[in-house]
Amino acid sequence: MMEKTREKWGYKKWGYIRNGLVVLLVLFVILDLWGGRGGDADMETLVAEVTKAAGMEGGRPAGARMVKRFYGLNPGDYESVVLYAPADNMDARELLIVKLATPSQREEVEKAVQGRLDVQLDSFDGYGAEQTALLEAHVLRAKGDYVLYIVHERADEAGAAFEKAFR
Amino acid sequence: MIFSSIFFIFVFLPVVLAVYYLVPFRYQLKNLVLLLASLVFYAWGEPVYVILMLLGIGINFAGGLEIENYLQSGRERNAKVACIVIVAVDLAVLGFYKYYGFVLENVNAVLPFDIPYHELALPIGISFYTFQTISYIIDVYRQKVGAQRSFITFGAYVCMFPQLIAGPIVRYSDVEKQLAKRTLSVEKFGDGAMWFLRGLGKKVLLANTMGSVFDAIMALGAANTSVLTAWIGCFAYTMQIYFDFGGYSDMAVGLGKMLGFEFMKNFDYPYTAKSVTEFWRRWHISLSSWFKEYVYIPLGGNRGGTKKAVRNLLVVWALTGLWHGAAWNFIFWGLYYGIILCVEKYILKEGLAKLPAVCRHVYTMVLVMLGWVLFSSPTLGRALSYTGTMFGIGGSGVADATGLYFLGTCLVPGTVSAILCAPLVYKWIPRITRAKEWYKQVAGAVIYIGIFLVSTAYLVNATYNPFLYFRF
Repeated sequence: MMEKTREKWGYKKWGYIRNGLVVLLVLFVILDLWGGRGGDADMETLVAEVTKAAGMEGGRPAGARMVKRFYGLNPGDYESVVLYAPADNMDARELLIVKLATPSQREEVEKAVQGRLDVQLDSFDGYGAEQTALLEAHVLRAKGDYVLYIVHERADEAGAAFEKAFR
Repeated sequence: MIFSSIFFIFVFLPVVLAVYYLVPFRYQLKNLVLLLASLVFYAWGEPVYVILMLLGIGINFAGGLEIENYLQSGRERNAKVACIVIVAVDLAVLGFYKYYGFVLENVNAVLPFDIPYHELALPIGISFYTFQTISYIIDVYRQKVGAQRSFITFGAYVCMFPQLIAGPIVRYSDVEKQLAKRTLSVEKFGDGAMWFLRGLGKKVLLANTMGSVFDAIMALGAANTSVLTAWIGCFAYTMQIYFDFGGYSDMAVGLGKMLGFEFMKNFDYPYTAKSVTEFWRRWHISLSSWFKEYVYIPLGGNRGGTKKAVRNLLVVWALTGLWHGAAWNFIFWGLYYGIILCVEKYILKEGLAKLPAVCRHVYTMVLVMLGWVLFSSPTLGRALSYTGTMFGIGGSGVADATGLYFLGTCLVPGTVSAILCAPLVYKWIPRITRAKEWYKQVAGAVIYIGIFLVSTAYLVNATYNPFLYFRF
């Protein structure tokens, strides 16, 4: 009897170990989902980190009307929208962060950003070399429920801060 | 952490190589150093997902021994069940992290309500190391290899940093003997260093340069893109992805050699191919051979008639596209190639071979470049729109000042890139570096030191250093 038990354990032990590790794996995945590593940075923190990286602290966010005018997006359709609009007609610098209400909105936001970018490039085409260069070097990122669009000399730093906020 | 970074080249790699060579010449110790270094490498970017990878290593390690035990006890059925369960767990983890967002996005598009979900970060390299563990389990079941008895050695195999995050997909059967015994020599180390530097130069000097041209063209928008500009953009991406991925693979092969391993090469001058079939024998060789071995052949391959063979090809290529990314444009990219391969195999057949070599080459490159448009576009709509622009639909004319500007900008890097797609230059390299004449050896050293110094200068200054295949 003892021999049979030992023999059974012999070739089943790896199966038991494997099953135990699978249980741990499932627990890990559940904790990961619950913790929402991919998608839950706080909007306020995110805006603070990104504006700090771009040196835009102290700026005033624009209102819903500007968001609609520039992007054709209705802020009420999204969880949250923050826009730092260009200071004047000769300024190309801009920051938009959108927290999506549903992931399916991502494509429409990215399309709206592309539309805005096309318009700005058209506007500065031929006479605004600096502005055109800034626009061409724009950063557009999507992570979790957030979309970032920035046109700025420190767009790369802002993009990196955006990525870092999700770790 | 990526290979083409200052920290990796000047800190991580020298420290790891020093420790690796200093530990006594016992393979378990060297494998332990490799495992620990690889875990640090991975944790640098993904500290939490190291746990996921370790759990995967543990499951497959235990699973391999379980299957072998069953086979040795004559319990074939139990072994088969265990194999299926472990492969299913591996695929479930990959599928979950990579595709559940995509699946729910598409389900939500159809349903009248949205199922809420949190999008998870994609663990780096999961597509590569999962395919490695699956190949191991299946090969153990097929009794092609024996189960690895050392957790350290198995862990070193799965997560060794040279190929962990961007391939090549190393099959256990290819490195089984090397894990237990491998040669370390000055010559091999030097050969590895040359491979690494060639890869670094390809990545930093060529891929990044062509990539910035491509990005600048993409930023123009469809309305401002002429036919000329669109083709330049497509060419730039074609060069970027090859030198990016090919360069990284060269670096992986080089690092492997420095550690005593011989990995298979992943690219064999794919842009010299004269048919799409040949292209896929030369591009990402480890992936296409994996799909052939573990999907196409088990499905029946080309046995069972033309209809079944076509079905099997399309399944394999849809999966190949899906492996590259959780998006419809990747699936369509895979199917695009599946269809072309079927056409070449069953319709064009020998007819294609009768054409002059130049025509076959142009035919192949046009199809490959159009494929890259599908691959690089964030949506199908953008891909179709860009392709239309390439053929004069919806753009800003045939040629314009912007197109001529980009033509001038990338004439030199583009020409150099095109030349370096062919084996000609690489054939000269061993003639210089392995020559007996001292002046040739000095010339070789000067070339490689030059590549190293210029690449380092670019890395120090660069703000633009993406790696395209990272997202897999």
